[in-house]
Amino acid sequence: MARTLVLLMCALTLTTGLWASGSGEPPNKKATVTWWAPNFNDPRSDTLAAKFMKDNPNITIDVQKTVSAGLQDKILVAIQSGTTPDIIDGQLGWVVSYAATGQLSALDEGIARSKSIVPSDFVPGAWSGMKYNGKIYGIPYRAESHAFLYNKNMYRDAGLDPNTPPKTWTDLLQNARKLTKATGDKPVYGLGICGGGEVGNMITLLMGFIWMNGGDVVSSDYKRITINEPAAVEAVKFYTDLLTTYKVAPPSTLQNDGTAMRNLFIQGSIAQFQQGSYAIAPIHKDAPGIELGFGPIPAPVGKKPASVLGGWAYIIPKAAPSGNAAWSFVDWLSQTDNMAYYTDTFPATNAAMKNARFSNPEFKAFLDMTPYARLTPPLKGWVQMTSVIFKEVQAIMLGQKDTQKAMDDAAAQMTPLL
Amino acid sequence: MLFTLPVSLFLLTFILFPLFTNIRLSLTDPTGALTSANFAAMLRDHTVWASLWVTVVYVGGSVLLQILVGTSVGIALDQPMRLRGLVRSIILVPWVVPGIVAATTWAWMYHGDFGIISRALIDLGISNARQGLLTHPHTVLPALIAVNVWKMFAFVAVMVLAGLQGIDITLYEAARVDGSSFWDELRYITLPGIRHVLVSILLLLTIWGFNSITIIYAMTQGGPAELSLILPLHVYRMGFSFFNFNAAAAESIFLFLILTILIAVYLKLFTSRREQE
Repeated sequence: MARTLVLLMCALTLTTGLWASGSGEPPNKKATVTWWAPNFNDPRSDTLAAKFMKDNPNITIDVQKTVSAGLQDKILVAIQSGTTPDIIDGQLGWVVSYAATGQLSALDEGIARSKSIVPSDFVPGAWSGMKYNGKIYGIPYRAESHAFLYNKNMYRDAGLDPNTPPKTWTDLLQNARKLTKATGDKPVYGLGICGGGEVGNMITLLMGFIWMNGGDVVSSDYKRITINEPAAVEAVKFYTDLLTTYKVAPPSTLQNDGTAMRNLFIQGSIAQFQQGSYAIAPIHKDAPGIELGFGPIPAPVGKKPASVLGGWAYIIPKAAPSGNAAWSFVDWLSQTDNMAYYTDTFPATNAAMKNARFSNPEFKAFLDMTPYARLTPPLKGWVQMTSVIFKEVQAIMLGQKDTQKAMDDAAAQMTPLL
Repeated sequence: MLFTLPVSLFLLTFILFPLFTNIRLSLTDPTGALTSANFAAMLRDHTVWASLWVTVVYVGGSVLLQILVGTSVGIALDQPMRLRGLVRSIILVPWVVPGIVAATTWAWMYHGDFGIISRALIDLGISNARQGLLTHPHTVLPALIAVNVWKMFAFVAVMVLAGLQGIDITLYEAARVDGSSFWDELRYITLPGIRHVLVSILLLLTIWGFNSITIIYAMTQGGPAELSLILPLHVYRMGFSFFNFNAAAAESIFLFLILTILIAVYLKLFTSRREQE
């Protein structure tokens, strides 16, 4: 009886001792970092995790694959619940709204100590998009922009120089007119624009036009809707005139989103359009006879190009159980070679863009556009606002309203959403 | 009393709880405070009223044609003919094809550049515009109604066919002795004979029509310029695209009230007459 008691006491002391020494997060103790990585980065996320774990045996990376559907909301719920993973991959445009909840860790301290993260080397639009109240809340790893694509064979047939893509709106319109042959059994149109389908596709195109013309949807302090101001209205008018007045866009435009445009290009029904680098592979596969040309997005005379910036970044929630270990992993992932390896499209730093993976000359126009790309406004009601803009632009394309009236109506519906 | 427990639990979980949660959502703001602002905003919202009108046109047009086409097909399939069994099976295909698959296929057929319907219209000389039926303000609702009718007419036909079996065949024989024509038989025997079936179908089709967003969601997403936006689709968008659950709840309560009034009107109109006979 007494012997059992003594043994029990020893066991108890031993376990308590071990347990006490395990509290907190001393650097020599094993830590598990939970990483929410998107499923389209599979299997690169696993490969990187394994590589890191080999060099850092004290840290275990638990890779959990996320799906795109409902992800924005899922992350918001997770960081607000207090039970969160350690690292989350999120789209660049989401970071500010997450930071506004107060549930993200500010990363400035880690960045200052880091040898792999050089703020000035990041794509400007991506890095500035991580700032909230003067602090940085995310580390971008992927940044991409649209570029201009055209059919070189059609350029030759129309008497245009196949190696000179249009750089201005004037040239764009001129080329589009020469390339349009609306009559006959197989009509061809000079330019594809989005007028239907996925709301986001049209908004991505339209925002570029508005920004390039010096306008914006909302004022810089996010207090006023400016879509009905002259610069923006002029841009929207040019966009819709391509269909209604100049008729260089196909009549089916109101049904076309990005995917439909690409299919029309593959079919040889349109000669030029704007899209991301993901368009290249399907075009080569389904229309190997088309000689693809690339260029920057045409801008109004004397102005710079602009486009919407897409991309992804790492964030670390405040409630992350293994925040320190998570930061060391993010720091490691942000090393040039790792970032170049992980990204699905293009990386977020100039150094990583030099990697051989992006040396394909077809990517050049896309990489060159990235410094001109911007994030859409981080407004809470943004999705609903884009629906309003979409509807009003369609009303212009249908000939139901003129541009100024449509934009005034849009502003009236968007203002309560601010 | 205990034997009502399973049913009570089911009713509570799947009907009462969601209903009360919805009512609560419609009367509160995102922080949880009580407010009537959702209903006030809804009544002021032009989109709600515009989409209600589109719903009336869409559902009204669809139900009318579904019953007309379905009844004709049902009566036709009651006549003796070769391969009748095969024909009866084939007409069921639109009904059993999954809604999303059917809607997406129809959308591609209607497309201005890729679609065979547009191609056919141009070749037949009926239309020279390649705009596509789904993007022209005058043709978008008829085009959608056509798909809705295609999808559901078989259901009506099957119900009518079943109802026709209940008509006493001696009525037809007696009428033929008196020298009636096919149209006389239709008017005085067949249609009155299936009246009860038609009344039930009318109610079902209207309720389904009001709640169906699959076809419109997949084909036009409510466009162009919200000309084909029906109220249920607007409710869905408000809740799951814009994440404004309070506004969506208010609008869904509005829809619920409209449907309740409609059903009450139906029952009053059609059951009282039956009781008088």
